Amino acid sequence: MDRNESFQSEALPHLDAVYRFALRLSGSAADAEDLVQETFLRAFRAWDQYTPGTRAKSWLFTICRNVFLRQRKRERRREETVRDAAAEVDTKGLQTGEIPVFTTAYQYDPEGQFFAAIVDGGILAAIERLPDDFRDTVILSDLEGLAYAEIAELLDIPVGTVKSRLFRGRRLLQQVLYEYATDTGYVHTNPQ
Amino acid sequence: MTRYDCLQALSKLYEYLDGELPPDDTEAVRHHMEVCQGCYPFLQFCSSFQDALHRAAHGQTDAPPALRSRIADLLQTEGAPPAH
Repeated sequence: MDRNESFQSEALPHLDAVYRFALRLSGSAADAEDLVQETFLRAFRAWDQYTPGTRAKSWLFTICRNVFLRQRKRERRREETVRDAAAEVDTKGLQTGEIPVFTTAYQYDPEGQFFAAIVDGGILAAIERLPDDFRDTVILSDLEGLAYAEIAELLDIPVGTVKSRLFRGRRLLQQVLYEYATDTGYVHTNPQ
Repeated sequence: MTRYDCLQALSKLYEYLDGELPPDDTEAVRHHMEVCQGCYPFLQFCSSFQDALHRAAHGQTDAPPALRSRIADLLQTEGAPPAH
């Protein structure tokens, strides 16, 4: 198999995943397209450095993130507002106990069936609202299926940090989804 | 066989669900969850949560066809043998 063929069979199947990753990083479809184009161009040029059969997806994500971070140095993003809003949700109750959402939900829906009732769009929108660090780890783990070690390498953080970000990000997401479920009537919290 | 108490089992729960634990620890969490009535509901809760996320992953946006074509063209140009 030549260089072109191996790139076609190992890298290109991840185009959708890289696009989604780029979309989340950049926050705009147009920027994401440029980011993906640059990512695949760089990946193709560096394809000789890739070890065939290893996880091409996390390798492509790493390139994509590096391209994004270089661009980001030039253009400051408007992330503080979102981060502050989410942190406020976090401090409202999430830092007081290990499993506070579960403790609350347990009275009304102990098995968390409300999660299944929330539409995909609602879940994805809630993920987008997480602070960047938590959002990235939750997406990479729960949506894209990367292993802890792959996420650690990609984000250049220790595996222990991946675990703690996942723990806090999931807990925050559970809180947001629970509030969404109670607001929309998926969970009935008022006694009849 | 390794035995876990509630705190140990709960602290490893996500690693257990993510398939990140070594076999001994996986078995220890699984065993604890089977016998502990207090912890088992939390396992169910977290499983429901992750099932919903995995399901939502399938409803994610795909790359636009025009981008796919543009990248294919770009790679063809890059990969073309140099003109002699």
